[in-house]
Amino acid sequence: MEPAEKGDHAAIERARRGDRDAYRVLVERHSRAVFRLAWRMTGNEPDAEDMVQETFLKAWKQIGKFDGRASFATWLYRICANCSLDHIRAAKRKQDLLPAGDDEAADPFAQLAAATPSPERLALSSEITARLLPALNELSEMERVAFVMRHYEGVGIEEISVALGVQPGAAKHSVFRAVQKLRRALEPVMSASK
Amino acid sequence: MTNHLSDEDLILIYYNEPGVGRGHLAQCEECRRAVASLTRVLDSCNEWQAPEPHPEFARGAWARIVPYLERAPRRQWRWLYAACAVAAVLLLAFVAGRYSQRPQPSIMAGLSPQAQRRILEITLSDHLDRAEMLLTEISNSDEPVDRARAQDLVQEGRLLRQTLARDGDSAPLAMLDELERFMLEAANAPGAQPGALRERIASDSLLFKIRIIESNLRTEGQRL
Repeated sequence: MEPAEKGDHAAIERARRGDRDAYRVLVERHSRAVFRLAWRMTGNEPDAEDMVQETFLKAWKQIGKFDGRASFATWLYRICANCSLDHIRAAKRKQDLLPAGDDEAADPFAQLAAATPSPERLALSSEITARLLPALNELSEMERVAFVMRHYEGVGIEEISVALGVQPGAAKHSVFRAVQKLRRALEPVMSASK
Repeated sequence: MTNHLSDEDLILIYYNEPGVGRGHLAQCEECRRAVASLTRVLDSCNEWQAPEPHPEFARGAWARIVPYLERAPRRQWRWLYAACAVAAVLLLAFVAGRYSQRPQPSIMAGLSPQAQRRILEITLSDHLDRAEMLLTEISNSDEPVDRARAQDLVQEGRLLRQTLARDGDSAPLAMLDELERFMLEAANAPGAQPGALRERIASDSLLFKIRIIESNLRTEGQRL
């Protein structure tokens, strides 16, 4: 058990008994990582902060159900991923109701990938990023979550499968499909830059 | 060389996942090139970096959720409480109808005296449960007393007491009377601060008395 996990274990046990100080330790320890995942899922900071809040509120209510099969961080990722997916689905439903031409407002990835200069967009102005973001947006929900967890958060495939409640084979194939799709989108840029 | 690594194997190698042999790479230039190509593509994904949260982010995250940690369970409890209160009042109304002086049909009419008695006991038990919870909250919290709940319990207790008095059941009457006076005080206390009420709960042994009656009701219920 890693030191952080060992520390988590004691705090989790106390939080299960309603100890809010113990839960505060867990929130302060994991909120940055949850934020990163939420940001990569939603594509903007305000929504990511909302997802962090939602994740930890749900985790507090459900902490009695945490069974320790995966690490606490992975369990939080699962909650965060589900919150984020719900958020994205709601945004897409809203987008469907908007008149044609207004869809960018409801599509966080389109906002990030747009060419209009802003501090955020300028930071993402490389050709790779410009290709990467739409490609990520084309992934299925499962592929996107699995890829973000594997690639950006360094979660192993076995643990992703536990977190997402799927068979390891399904988690593995989600990562494979995501990589193949991203590769098709990015390889032309990589070849051109050789 | 045949038996090159598959695309899936290359991905597993890149992520250092178990389940794929790496020995082949040492002997196969083509697979090494394939790994290098994949590595370039996947490494390029790292250009998309999440913004680094500000140093106070973790503390801010806690500050954002902590008010809801207090409220969420209470809000859920209030709904449960409201549902129980409505059910109890309805049940009491039926029971009161059974004992009303006016000759009117009651849904209790077809029930045996034993069943009617059991319904009354369940209603009383439910009332005492909720009174006990409110007293426990007052005893263990510095928050202002929930006066609306105390008021509900006053009204409900009054109805119950009248019903039991008509039925000649005197055992829990004294307790209900005492509880009603306490709930009246809690419902009308200026500022509804728990300090004085807490002392009263302790000095009158209210929780202890409630638990004794609840225990008697349970024993009675097992007999029926």
